[in-house]
Amino acid sequence: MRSSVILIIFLVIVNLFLWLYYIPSKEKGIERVLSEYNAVREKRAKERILSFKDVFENREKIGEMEKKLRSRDDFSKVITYIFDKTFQSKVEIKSINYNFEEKKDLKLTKLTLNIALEGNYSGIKKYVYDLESGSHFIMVDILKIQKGVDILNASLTVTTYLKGAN
Amino acid sequence: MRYNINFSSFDRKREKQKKLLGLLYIIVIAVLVFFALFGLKKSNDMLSEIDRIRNEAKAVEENIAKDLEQRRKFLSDEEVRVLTEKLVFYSSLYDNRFYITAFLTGLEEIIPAGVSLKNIDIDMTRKSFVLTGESLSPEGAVSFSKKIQDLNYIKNVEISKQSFQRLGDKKLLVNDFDIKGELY
Repeated sequence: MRSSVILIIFLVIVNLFLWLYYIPSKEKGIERVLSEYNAVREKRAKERILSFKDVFENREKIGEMEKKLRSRDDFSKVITYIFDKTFQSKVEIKSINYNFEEKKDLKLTKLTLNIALEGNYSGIKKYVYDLESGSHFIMVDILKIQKGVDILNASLTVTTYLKGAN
Repeated sequence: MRYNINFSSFDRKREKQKKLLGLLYIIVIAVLVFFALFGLKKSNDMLSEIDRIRNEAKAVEENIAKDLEQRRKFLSDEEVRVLTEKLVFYSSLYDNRFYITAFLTGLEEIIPAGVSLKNIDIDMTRKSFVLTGESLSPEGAVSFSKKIQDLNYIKNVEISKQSFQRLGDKKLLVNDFDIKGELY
């Protein structure tokens, strides 16, 4: 009888130890190693650790995106391009002023141009469309069209990026 | 009539109780042993899982170190930084690009009869626009602003200014308006 009670007490103690201490501590252990594992996996994304394959793929993507960008030395070609587009859309450029902003960290130069032009509505729209969808990457940031006496006056602020920075 | 008289000293009731207790004892022991074994198995599984996760984390770390070593042979960390920042920058430029001509075409399609625009001012840096125009009826501006609001890339459209004047021997009512709104 006594040995039976001792056996029961022993088994109860074993179970209490297992279920109240040992298993919960191991559950916490799993949570801890899981968070360590996730931290290691996120490290690659967080610290932007790229393999050579990733870098190669990114280079290709950047190359595709940069196809439409001219280099800093081609600034005059950009201006010529902006003037050339007026012939097709039958608008007249009244003035252009521009400024450069260096983005040294990206090795790019931001070129902002303010263009004042005259023409009819369809001509101005075509001109804006040609700039937006042409072979050069140009974003039209601001467009103002005002009704004149016989003609429309428009002012455009466009942005493009040139490869390279001084 | 016959009677059977039991002269035995054997206590059946007590014996039955003893058997019951014995059975109960076996059941309790069996349950406790089962839970103990189940607990041990669970702990063992958990230990294996911890080892597995640790090994996987180690493999990922080794992989990162290997990738870095391999990549550094061709490109420095600085070059990769510029490359990554360029990619993020270009992606933001190309992905968030909005074509102003698409908005102009949208306006042309919805402008009601009797409404004309005098000024168009679209500012993509502020993602806002102001349209100044006139209509031959007060409803024209309201209807136009509602139609603009219905374009899926426009929000918060409102008529910010409205004035009326009679022209042509006061027979013609002209409504000058300003409509402003935001682009997504």
